[in-house]
Amino acid sequence: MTTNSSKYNITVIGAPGVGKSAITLRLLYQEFVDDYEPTKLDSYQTMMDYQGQDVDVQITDTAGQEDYASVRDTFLRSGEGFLCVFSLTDSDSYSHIEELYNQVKLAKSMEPPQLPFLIVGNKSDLESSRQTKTEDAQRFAESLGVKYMETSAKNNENVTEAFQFLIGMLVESRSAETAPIESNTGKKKKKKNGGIKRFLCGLA
Amino acid sequence: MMALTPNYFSLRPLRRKSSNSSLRSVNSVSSISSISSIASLSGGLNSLRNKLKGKMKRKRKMCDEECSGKSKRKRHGSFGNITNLSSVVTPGRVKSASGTLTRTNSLRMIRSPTTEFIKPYSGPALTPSKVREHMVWQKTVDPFVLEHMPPALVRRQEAIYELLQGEKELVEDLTLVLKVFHGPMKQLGLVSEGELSLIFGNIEELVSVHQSLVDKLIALQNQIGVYDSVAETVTEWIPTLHCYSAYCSNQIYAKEVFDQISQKSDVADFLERCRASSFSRKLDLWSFLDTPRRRLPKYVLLIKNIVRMTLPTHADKMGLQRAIEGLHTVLSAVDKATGRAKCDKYKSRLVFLQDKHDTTDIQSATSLLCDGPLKNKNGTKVHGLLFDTVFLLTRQLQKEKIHYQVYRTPISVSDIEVEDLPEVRVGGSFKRTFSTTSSGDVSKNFFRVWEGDSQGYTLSVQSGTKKQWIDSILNAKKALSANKMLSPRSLPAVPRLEINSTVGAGNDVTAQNDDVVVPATPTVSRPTSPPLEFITPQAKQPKSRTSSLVDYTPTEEGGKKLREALNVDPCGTPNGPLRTPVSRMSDPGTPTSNQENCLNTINQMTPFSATSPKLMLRTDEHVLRLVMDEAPASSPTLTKTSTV
Repeated sequence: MTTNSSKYNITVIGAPGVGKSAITLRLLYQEFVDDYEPTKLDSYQTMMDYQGQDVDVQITDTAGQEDYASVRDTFLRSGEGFLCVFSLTDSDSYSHIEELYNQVKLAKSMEPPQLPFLIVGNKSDLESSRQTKTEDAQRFAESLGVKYMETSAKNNENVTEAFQFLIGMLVESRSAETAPIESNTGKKKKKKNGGIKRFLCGLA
Repeated sequence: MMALTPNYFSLRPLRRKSSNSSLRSVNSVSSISSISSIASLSGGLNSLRNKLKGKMKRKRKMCDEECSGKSKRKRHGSFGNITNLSSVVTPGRVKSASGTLTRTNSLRMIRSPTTEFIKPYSGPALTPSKVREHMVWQKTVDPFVLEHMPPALVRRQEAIYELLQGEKELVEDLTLVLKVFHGPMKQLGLVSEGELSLIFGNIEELVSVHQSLVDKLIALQNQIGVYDSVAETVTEWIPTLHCYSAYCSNQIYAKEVFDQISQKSDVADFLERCRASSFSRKLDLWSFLDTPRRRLPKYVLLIKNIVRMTLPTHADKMGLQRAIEGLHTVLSAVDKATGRAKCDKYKSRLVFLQDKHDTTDIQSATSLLCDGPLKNKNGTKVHGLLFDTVFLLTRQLQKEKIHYQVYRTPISVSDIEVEDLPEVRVGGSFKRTFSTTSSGDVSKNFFRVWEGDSQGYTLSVQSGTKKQWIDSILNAKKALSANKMLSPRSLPAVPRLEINSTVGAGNDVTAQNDDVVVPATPTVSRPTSPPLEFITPQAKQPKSRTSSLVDYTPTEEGGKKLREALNVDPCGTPNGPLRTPVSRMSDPGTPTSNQENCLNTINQMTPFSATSPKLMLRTDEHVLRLVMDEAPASSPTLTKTSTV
């Protein structure tokens, strides 16, 4: 579907209370009306700029679904890019990341270079109550093979950048898919080799 | 002649598309263009006109055949009818076509760059999409009221207003879905009625449920637009959310059908047009259908927010806590129903090579804990399915839908053993012998599962997911054995969640009708019964989020109830909450109040019972299955459905 090529789907995941909604809200509405910050968010569509090109991005906020696995998990599969948020002031939410990561990997049957996944440490404005060091998070993300960023939804720091980075990954992974014919033939060849190998193994 | 040339222009791109690479067509293009030019010069020779007409007719036939798959709508009427054509092309295309028409017979136009006549709809250029305006309560009331109100109270009003506003928007969205998607898709005959009812589920019921909260909340506003107490209204309303059990479990099938029909070009075209239109705010149909599911868990956040803004002295502070508990009850029921539907879906997709593989363990499974691609030692791809009672190794078969062929003896979770293999050399003996490196390829992604004395299976996983598999298997075994020890008399495989949610649901029943005797909350406790230690390791694992089973962390209140329930000897209450699904199926005569409750919910699913039962049967066995599985045969609506 060529018409869909500019439409991307980002799912925001993370432990409860890390600011998933806040980040999404910040991206969509640069400013809040008065001093009331809304709680809710569901699915939003927005347009973002990626390297001078406009792309349609649909953002799904999963806030509130954390504890209900069945309600949540089946629909992880419909996400394309994943913004995995933890709170820098809550080490529990940090330790939860790996599990979320594995869940996504299992649900999508994909690995990092192909799987658009970004770890985001939120609440960087609360420097005094920080519990996770930047270097630790950075190293951890590298060990998983994904990128790491720190944001502050409150001060609107790095929020747009985080989404843009993820979109960049999505755009690239889409363009990588554009040569399916070649890869197909490659697969077939591989299969043949495997067959021969197995046959030889059987003889030996 | 003038009447003909425009037709020709509009026709041209079509035929070019129809025979893009054939030489013959290139010839005919030039022949036609020469004919038309001569014709236009000579001012209309009858013979030529007829000749041309004949050609046109043939072309039309060809084109019609070519695009018959594209859309049914456009086939009516003659080809020469411009308006008909313009109804087929996209708005952008219409514009250019009419531009062509006004420019009479300039031959240059024939070489216009429009290459394809009907290409998949490409929407207008990207424009900033409408984002729903963020509404605040302050804008709705008299400034005079605001002036005399402390900011803390204003924030509370805002929180309540946010709940109301969200409801309004949800109703708006759902109505839109019915009006713009459901209606036209039905009318245009894009999808069969059965598929429609599967995709949209009981969405009409959701509309009425949410509309009722909107009405109630609006009625609560006093003359100056201020809300006083909302707790009672909200608490009363929450149990009606049980209809989500049906909606969410149906979604498991709906998503599949939706993905299937979106592959069809005409449906895809329709959906794409809708998405590009302003009313949809550029969201696609699925995100609309998914909106209620996403909103459901957010009620907890919304109501917690109201509680936070409420002064401690206000009656709502306590009242809304009850609402939140009620919400958790609904949510776990919905979660369980969804998990069950998912499990049933997978079960229905199993194909057995040998009949003996179809064990009772598989039949009694109620939730799917983990599934994903695995590889055996030879590197062959297999698909592992871990249910709460059994572990299956399957091969994926792609028929119309994906099926799972059970090709190895299933391993019962109660006897399963799992071992982490830290390092395994991969590759067959051949590869190992001739391997240039001394160690060969070493993989750390292997684990072994076996049962009793059997050799079992050595399996490799995607990196990183091994821990998840092993944990899931161990947790499943633990949960199962805990249940077995708790209820030695019951048949094998009592799902753990059964205990949890029955307690939870029982709780809810008490909240609704006080006269119902709830079996889940007995008062006798027996010291000899194995009490807490079987359940605490589970309850203390909030981090393992592999499944609904392990995931359930009871609230403080719920945990208390759970402990109360578990202190009681379950053997003494054969009709109690610990009965297995098997026994529940076999005696539908005395359903527990929880089941009755559930049954009522299902019976309220009007779309299922209201639509023609024949259609339901014809389209998909899963709907029926879904409904029948959940409810005992005593339900009048269901028996009616099943006898057709």
